[in-house]
Amino acid sequence: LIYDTQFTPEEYKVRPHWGHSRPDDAISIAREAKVKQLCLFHHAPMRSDDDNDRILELARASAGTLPVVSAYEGLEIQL
Amino acid sequence: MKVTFWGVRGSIPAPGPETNRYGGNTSCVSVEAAGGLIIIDMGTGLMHLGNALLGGDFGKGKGRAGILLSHTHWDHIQGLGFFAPVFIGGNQFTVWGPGDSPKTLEDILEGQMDPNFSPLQTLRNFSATFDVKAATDTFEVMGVKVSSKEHPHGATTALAFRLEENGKSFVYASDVGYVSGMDGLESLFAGADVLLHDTTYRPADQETRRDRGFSSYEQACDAAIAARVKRLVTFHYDQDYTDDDVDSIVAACEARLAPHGIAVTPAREGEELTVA
Repeated sequence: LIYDTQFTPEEYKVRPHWGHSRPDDAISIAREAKVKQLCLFHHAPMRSDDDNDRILELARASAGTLPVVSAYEGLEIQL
Repeated sequence: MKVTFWGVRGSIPAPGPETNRYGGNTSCVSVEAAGGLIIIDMGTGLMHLGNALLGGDFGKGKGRAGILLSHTHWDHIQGLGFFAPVFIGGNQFTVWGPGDSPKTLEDILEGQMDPNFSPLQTLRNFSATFDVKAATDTFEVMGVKVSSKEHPHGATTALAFRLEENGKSFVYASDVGYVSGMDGLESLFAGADVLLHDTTYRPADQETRRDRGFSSYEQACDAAIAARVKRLVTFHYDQDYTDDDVDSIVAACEARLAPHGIAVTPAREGEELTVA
């Protein structure tokens, strides 16, 4: 499941009407839908590579056994 | 005048490891003059300029700037919807651009905000004032004398601008698709302290892209020589060029212009040039 995780939960609180999502929602939805792998996607424009690394670490820490990757240019996923 | 380069790429953003040194954002340059801030073109580099401005008056709703717009192709307007200072009430912007009337230009920019293309829906969702004017031959922006001249750009035209303050002159001429000689740009360029000119292509690459309305670095150099300018700024590099490709274009310009005593400054994202 490739899912828009543009905002952190804090950012989302002030921009709920922008039509973008957040990693913790992506993880709950992926669990509920019994998804096998989650891919974080549609990173915010000002996010640095280090920011995205930290967001991925946090997501993996809360995702338990659900495998999570963060999309980067050139990434390939074999199904 | 202090010129800062926020976006130097042509046609489409070109991010990636091969364009990190010159940068991948599209056309946007700022000019800090004694009278205030002038922004030239609103490509994706405008987002980074906007974020940098938030630390000053523009973050408090007390900012004022003039914006000069060469034409309305995507790579010259795409940053507008991501320019944070327009979402802060109290800031004031006036745009001068192409078109027979302010309404012509305002309708084009309004079209960019159409819900099919942008979540902003309309320019009226800006909190800042955003006045649109049609550029004339000469006008004044933030205390700076500005002259403009229309030139060919493929199937359309674009505007080049000359800014003068305290006896110093800066010319911005991007997306110049020469058709006949210098197409009347000689007097706009004449004796400029700094001529920023698009050096979009190597001559060989231009041969296969003739109708797109851009200059090769040779044409930019020839214009700099003919107009006896003091310094050429290379700009608007083709999206397919790596940093190493741009290095070779800059070196070729230096070799061509050195015998004429004309200096070369390559436009790179985040770098500054004082017009002196």
